[in-house]
Amino acid sequence: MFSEDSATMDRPEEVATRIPSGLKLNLPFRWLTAAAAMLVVAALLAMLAILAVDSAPAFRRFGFAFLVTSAWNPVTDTYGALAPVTGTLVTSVIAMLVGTPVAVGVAIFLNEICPHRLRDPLAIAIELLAAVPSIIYGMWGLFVLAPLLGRHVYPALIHWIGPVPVVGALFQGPPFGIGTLTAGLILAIMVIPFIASVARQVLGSVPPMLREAAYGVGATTWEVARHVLIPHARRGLIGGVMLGLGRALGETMAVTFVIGNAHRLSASLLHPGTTISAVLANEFTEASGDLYLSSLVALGLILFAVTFAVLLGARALLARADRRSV
Amino acid sequence: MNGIVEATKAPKIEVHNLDFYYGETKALKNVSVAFKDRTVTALIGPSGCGKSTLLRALNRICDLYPGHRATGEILLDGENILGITSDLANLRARVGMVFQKPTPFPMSIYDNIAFPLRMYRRLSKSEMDEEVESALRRAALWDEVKDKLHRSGLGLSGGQQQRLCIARAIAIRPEVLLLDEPASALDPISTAQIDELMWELRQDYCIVVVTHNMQQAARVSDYVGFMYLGEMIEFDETATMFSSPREKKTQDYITGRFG
Repeated sequence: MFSEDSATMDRPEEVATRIPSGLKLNLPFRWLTAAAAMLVVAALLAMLAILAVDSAPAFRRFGFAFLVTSAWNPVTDTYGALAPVTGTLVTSVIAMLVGTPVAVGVAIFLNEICPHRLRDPLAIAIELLAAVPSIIYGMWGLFVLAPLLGRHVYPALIHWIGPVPVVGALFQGPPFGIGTLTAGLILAIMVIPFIASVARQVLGSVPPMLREAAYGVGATTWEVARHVLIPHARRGLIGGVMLGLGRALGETMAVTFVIGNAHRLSASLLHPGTTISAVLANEFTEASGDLYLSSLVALGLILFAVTFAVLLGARALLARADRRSV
Repeated sequence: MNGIVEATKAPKIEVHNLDFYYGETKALKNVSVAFKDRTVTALIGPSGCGKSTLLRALNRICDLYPGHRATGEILLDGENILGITSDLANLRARVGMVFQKPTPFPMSIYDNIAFPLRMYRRLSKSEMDEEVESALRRAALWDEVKDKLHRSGLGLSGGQQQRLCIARAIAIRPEVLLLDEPASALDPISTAQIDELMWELRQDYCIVVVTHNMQQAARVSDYVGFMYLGEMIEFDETATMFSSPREKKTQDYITGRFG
């Protein structure tokens, strides 16, 4: 080990006494990066603080009932978050149920089955799905997907599944096309690239020897994927699904276009509904009255809390998956 | 332990003029060799000589990777397996493989063996129980795991995991068993158990084992093939190879002068 002194002793005088020019900038640079990091944390805390303060009147006025009632009436100034909260959760769950199998299928196809030359072009095409602006999804959903579903798919669902007890309740009413189910399907398409990309990574991190062993006992691609790859990558896959869920929960524009924006609770997925972000997008500019505004902010706070919890969960699961694959 | 090998034993696998490429790199050069049924053949040679590559060509596990290709002929019971285009799963069920490191599947000990069995045979619950027990007994693992069959296979020790993998490989009754340095990650006691096991299994299978361990090769094999830089330098009965090899290279390697 060289000490500072022994190193400078051998140098000519003028070099030893010179202050490296980089040193002058080093301290400001460190402060600058620290400030950048702090700014992000400060912005987060400031947002939380504003949400908490501004939503306080609504929570004071309605208390816990805000979360469990669905009345939303600006005329009588009564607000309850149940309809948009339910809508947010239901559309996101639909998106996960439909999107996850497709995304995992995409990942398995790209990793295990797809000819090598097609792999990268296809992967890029799927990632491009994530680059389509959400308003485009909304317009496409409203003008193309919703009429298509309303004309050809929903009547069949109502006819065949409608009369079934329990499950049938989900498929009642006139087939408008717009509604909770359509919103969920649009969200499913939007989360596929996110889940597929994580799924490719975690499935690709399965040890090659384990993969070879699975093929080595004569398993087909389906059996290898179903019994070895997916169980081995399970935790990472759940993490990927949670990332997609985080995105689905907060998605605004596409959902607002196709969900119908109706403040009511309905068992049927074909009825128009609403989500937290759709309510905010629709009503914020027209909100008159402090309680109205405060109730909207309270909705925002709820969304924030739910999304935050989901993202934390996703990170925890992905971190554990990483540690295990080392 | 090496008895005299009956000359009547037929070749199970015949390799003719096999070349193997990893992309542009040629890993096997014109290898020709025959592996007889119901014998243990050991492949030895320094790292990178191509012995694992040869093994991996025999059940075409190398096909999982793009750019890996083989030319020549590998005849399994007279059928050229390099010509198979569709049913590789069936080939791999006939030619089982055990790897350098234990590779238990992420499931219970029982299911590790039942999973490959279910793919090929329709068995009742009691038949399945019997098959699992018999495979575990043959792999000399039954007594150690019979009380925890439904616990994860990942909870076993390294040596037990490797015997579980051997049990899994023989459960589907392959015709050929390939072992790629099966004891390289194991302690001496587990290694001895694996050796003993190979000697037992030899009565039913054509076994090909890649090893870096000369004692292991001498103990368990009937034939030894010495490979160097992608070529099969010398192939002979184990006793001959270790007492009076023809090639100087073989002698040098066996006596530890290089490699």
